[in-house]
Amino acid sequence: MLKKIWSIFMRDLKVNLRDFLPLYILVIPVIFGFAINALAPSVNDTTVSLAMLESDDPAKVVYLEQFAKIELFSDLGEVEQRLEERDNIVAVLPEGENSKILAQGNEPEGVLVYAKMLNSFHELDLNVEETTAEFESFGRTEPPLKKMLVNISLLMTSVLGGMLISINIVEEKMDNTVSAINVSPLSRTGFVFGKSLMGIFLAVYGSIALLWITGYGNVNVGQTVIAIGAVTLLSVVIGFIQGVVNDDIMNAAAGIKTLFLPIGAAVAAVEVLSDKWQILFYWIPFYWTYKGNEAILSYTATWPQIIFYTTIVLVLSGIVYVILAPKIRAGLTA
Amino acid sequence: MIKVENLHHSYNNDEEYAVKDASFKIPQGEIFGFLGPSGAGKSTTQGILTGLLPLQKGIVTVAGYDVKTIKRKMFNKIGMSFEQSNVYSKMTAKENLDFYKKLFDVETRDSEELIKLVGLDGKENVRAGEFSKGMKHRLTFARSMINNPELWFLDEPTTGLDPAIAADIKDIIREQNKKGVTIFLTTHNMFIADELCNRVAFIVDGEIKLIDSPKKLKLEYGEQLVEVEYQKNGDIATETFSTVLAEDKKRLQDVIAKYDIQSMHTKEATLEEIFIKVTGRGLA
Amino acid sequence: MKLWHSFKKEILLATRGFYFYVEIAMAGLFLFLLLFVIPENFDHRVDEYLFYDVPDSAWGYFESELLEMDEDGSAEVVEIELDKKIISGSLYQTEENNYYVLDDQRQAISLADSERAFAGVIHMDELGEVTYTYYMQGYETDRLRNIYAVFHNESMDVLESAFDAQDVQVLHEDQVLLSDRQNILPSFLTFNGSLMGMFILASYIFLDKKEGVIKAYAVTTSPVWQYLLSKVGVITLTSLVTSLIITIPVMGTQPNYLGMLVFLLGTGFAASALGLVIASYFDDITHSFGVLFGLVIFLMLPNIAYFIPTWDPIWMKYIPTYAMLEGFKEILLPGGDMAYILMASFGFFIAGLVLFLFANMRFKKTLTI
Repeated sequence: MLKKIWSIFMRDLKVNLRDFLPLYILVIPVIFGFAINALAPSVNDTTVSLAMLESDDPAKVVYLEQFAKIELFSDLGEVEQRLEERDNIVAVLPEGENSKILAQGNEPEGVLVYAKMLNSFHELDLNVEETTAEFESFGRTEPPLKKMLVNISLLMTSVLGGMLISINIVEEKMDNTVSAINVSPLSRTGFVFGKSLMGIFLAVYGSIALLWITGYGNVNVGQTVIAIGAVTLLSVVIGFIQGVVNDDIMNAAAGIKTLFLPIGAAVAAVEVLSDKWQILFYWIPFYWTYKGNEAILSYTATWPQIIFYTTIVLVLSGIVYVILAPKIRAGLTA
Repeated sequence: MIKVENLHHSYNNDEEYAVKDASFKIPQGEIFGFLGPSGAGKSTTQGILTGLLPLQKGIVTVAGYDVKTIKRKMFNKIGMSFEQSNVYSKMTAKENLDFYKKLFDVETRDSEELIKLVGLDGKENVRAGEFSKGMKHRLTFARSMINNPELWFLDEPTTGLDPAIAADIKDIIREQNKKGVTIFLTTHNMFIADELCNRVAFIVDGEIKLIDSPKKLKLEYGEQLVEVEYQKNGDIATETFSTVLAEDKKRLQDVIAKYDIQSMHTKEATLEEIFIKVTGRGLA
Repeated sequence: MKLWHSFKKEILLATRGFYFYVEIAMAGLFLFLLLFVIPENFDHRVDEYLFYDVPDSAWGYFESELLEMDEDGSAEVVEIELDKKIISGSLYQTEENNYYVLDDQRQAISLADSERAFAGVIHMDELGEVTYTYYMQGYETDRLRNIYAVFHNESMDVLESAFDAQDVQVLHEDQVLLSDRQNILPSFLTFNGSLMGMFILASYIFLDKKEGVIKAYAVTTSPVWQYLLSKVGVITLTSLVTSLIITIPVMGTQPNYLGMLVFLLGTGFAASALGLVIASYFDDITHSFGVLFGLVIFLMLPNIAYFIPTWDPIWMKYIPTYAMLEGFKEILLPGGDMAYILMASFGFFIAGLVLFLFANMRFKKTLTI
């Protein structure tokens, strides 16, 4: 039995690296990692942007540059044109001895508060050198957005494997090769396992590559393995169920699209919604995966926590599998 | 109806040709068979004639149109029945035909009439996805007639069909031919080619080895002999007689008169035997 | 007419497939989440943990500063969990911040550490000099640190007076902003209405290739571009329906629905055409999946700039979905910029046309192989 499973995997590895799993897919997690590294630092720089006139006091420009991104324009017309653009830049313009703030009118209140505050600083001539403040740091250099992007990428990499499995199985069904397996000595369980190995391989490899490239290579290995393992299994189960239950590519595509909603909802629930709404998302396995990843990436995860989250993911996957088992059996004999 | 000169086709755009220097002409009203084993170049040639593959090298005119630049209106005159059934599984038999009709600019046949013609009556409103392989094939075949084609391309028209249905399909083909339809038939089944075709072309490894009518080929390559099995003294005896030599003809008459004849076969060659003889390859 | 018949056939096939109903159900589910789960406005307040190491006599002054900032002018006693223990503190809530004032410096710092928040220790010495020690995470930029550095260089009263005296003028009065809930819509409309069209169209093509019906189509008088366009039509129609399912209940009559129709047509066409181009390079969906998946993820990047308005690098604006997000936003706003909507729609339509012609050229050669 094991020999047959291994031969399916080796067939997949050889043939499917050519047919099923184009090599470039293995590059995707790597691209995610480098993109996050490139994006994260600049996204973290989230103070306000100000438009000013070139003819304005250079000292004022230098002063405000300490607190905000400054763009300079030659005249008021250009400034107004810049304000009309879609982002949230506001202008600080000379008005007599002081300055006024000019905005488009659709900026969030916080942006205007920022601008007014900075202008006040300038008018009161508050200098950084005269500060009465001291700064201490917890020594965290990774911005929270980077952690969020890495977490989302981990989720997407894991489900990518499952999505590919579903498509591959649907194509095998359309080619009728599934029926050929049914009349071979290999059991259906063996077939399932053999088919899933490629998806598992992609998810595991992708997660490791992602963590390593983005500088999270020193997270708790044991916890990471368990968390990744759970979500990989989840995505393989989902991928397999979708592949077997759907009889053509369009339905498989629909199934893939439906995955994006619970993934998005899980991310949004953890990142944005307050505690009282969280219970509504408990049924989504990706929610627990995201929470577990978040703790691991924050280096605050405890073993009981990870085991708890992983168990929920496995239980939810198991429930889905059990409910759909008859359909899966029927799908494999089709 | 079809004129092909020095046709070449390579799938890799190199010197490895799937079709090499093929030339033939098919007059109107003829049933022309392309006979050869799998991978010989039959479907490739047919693909080029029907515009499914681009013309790389050579001159090809189909129904008066140069296929170098395919004009869509050429397809008003052409019908094609594919070896692999390719109907919409989510549409019923009638819906498949009704939709297909609308893609032509000429008068088309009634869908239900065609469905009945191929023996699918009662199944008009069944989704093609629920059809058996044979039924899907029949529907594909029916669809190929919908625009009353002058030139009909048939790719393995009876493959996978049971003998009764295959016989019906052959009858339809003969009937259409009687009405003047020119038929280009690709097959590796020598019985079909023998039964239906006015002329056949043998194609192997992309090259046409010969073109002639089955009758002439059998006369040229066959032997004019009769093999007779008869009961003699409780045993089965076998003798072969020439149908040309006088003494053999007399001896044959004596055997028939004297003994119980078990079987009698002429030893004319089958197309497959001729094919093997000429090309050195089998049809399988 | 043939194009119309092909389109009708595609609609028939779509309604007989599982996919079409999944689209509708997903839209319904998302609508449910929007209406009943996602709040109208998120709580954007940033938590800060403060400890005042000041004499009791001076506390009144600092407390009055906090009370003045507080929305209802009074502090709330709250319980906070720290290291599995419950501690108490006072909460002063402003529009932008939740200031938790604690009785223990270590607790304030621990909370900032565990909650990844900001802590401030305000110390007054015997001479009445006040110093501020800010505990930050470490990834904050210099600009943010500079703001904190100067913030207490002057008294709050003086700072507040200067702040209130600022002259703010706007180019357009009475601009309406979308609520946080409404603000999610452009992102969904872009993803569901436009982006997924690319993926789904490629799937349609591969399905037809698999079933072989493309070859049957190729031997008719109907040209390839009509086959492709009928598919684009179905995708666009589906995205239109699902977009309206989401938008109407949430936004009512406020949006410019005519603009939305035009915009969805333009963006849907462009996204579908891109899907066609990608499909023309591959034999089946498995081979193309990586490219489609990667492209969808890349095209979702502008969402970061959309939800974090202060981050708006120039290169982001060249990603087409940036314009899609902004376009949908204008559509949802009352009196939105119709010129922008029309121009963007036209731009997408032209881009779609170029991609479509290119795809048509490729498909003529490769569709039936």
